Amino acid sequence: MSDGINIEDLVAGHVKDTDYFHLPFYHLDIPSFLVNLGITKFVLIEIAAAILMVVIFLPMAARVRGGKPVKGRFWNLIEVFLVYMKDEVIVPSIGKKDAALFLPYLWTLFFFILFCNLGGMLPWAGSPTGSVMVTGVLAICTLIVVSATGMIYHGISGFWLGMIPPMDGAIGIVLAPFMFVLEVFSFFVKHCSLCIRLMANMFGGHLMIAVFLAFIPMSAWAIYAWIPITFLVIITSVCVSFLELFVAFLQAYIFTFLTSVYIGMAIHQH
Amino acid sequence: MNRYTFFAGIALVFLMLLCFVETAQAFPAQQEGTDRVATSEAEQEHQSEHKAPSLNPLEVVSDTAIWSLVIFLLVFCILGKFAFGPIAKALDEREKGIVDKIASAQRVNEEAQEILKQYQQKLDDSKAEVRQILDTARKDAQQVADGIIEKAREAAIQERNRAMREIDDATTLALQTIAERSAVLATNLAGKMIRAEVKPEHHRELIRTALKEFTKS
Repeated sequence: MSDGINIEDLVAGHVKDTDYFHLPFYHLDIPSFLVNLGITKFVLIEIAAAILMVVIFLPMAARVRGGKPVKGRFWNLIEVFLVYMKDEVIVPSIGKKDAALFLPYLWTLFFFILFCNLGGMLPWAGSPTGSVMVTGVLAICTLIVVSATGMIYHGISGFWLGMIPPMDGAIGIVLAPFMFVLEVFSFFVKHCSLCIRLMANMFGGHLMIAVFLAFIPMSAWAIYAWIPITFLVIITSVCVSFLELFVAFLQAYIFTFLTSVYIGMAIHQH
Repeated sequence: MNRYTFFAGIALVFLMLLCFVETAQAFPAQQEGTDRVATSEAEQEHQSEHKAPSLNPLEVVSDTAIWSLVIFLLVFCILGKFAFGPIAKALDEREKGIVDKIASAQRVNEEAQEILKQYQQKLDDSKAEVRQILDTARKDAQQVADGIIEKAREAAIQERNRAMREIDDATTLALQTIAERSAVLATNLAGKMIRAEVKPEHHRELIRTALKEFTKS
């Protein structure tokens, strides 16, 4: 707290989910009937990201129908993302034969996370992926997809028992139950790490920007120090925002890449 | 602007209008505030009516999770069916098309190489044939030239022989003429010698005169 300004609220308002949009000099409240339904700022941003995806990818599908090359810089940019994720991430991780089945899920995952991450770069918006509830849901979806894939390809027992690495001799028999518990635990931890990694990166990055910006009202009482501090804080925040822009793409890539790897591991055990 | 952009724009504008109307109804006085301090106070008062946001990143908000799941699954179903599925198919078709075109280009290239080889072979054959034709022509021309030269030589020999014969004939005629003139002169001379005493000076004069007359004749 500094001069009546609640710094924690100021910082939290930037990085956490709220039932209003904190515009300059004004709080744009989300209608109460939506708030009562549990629709908050992050949910609205997710809806916006979903609408944006629909607006972009339905015309994109029409443009590439029949294998036609797309025209225009924007559509070529979108195609670059799609083709890169397909050829450099999904197909090498899963295999050419099986990759086609998972392409829609992994593309959806990548662009949904990317657009949610980029929401944090918009003024007065926010990054829903900074909430563990959002990343947790995405990780659970991935967990379900990976488990279902493994069980469909190898059978229920084949998939879960297949996690035990092959070991010869009596030592293998003795270690098998321990390895099974360890591998199953590891399996869930891997998916949990997907959720925590994404949330921590997005939350941490925006928290850092918010904390830097909070230095401006915190130093407002010091007349001569305020101007250089404000200047430094703005420069630093711009630099960190560039880093956050990179992190937004990187984390979407990492989440999708690891999901592809887990699906590939579920299909090709050992 | 296509229909997707149009409907999405309408949906967004509608949502923003809803938010604005709801807020305006709840806090009508706040919109008129222009004073910075007053606005800050209004914000603080307004903020006190909301649940203070927590900085705990692991706070469990089940509504957000449920809505996130619903939104993600809806997006996945819609885009999987109408966008990403067709896009994946289109990209595969394009890849197959490119592979087919490359294979076709390679096949055409091989055919072109084969045709080029055939044309090269034909060109080489044509060159050899031309060379042979030229050799033959050169030989024929040589033979014709040799024949012409031989004929010319024979004609020249014949012409020389004819000339020699004509010279012989002329020589013979000249000798006959000389002999006849000599005989006449000798006869005339003998007659003169008989009619006059011949002194040594007369003898010389006689010979000289005879020779002069012989020359004149």
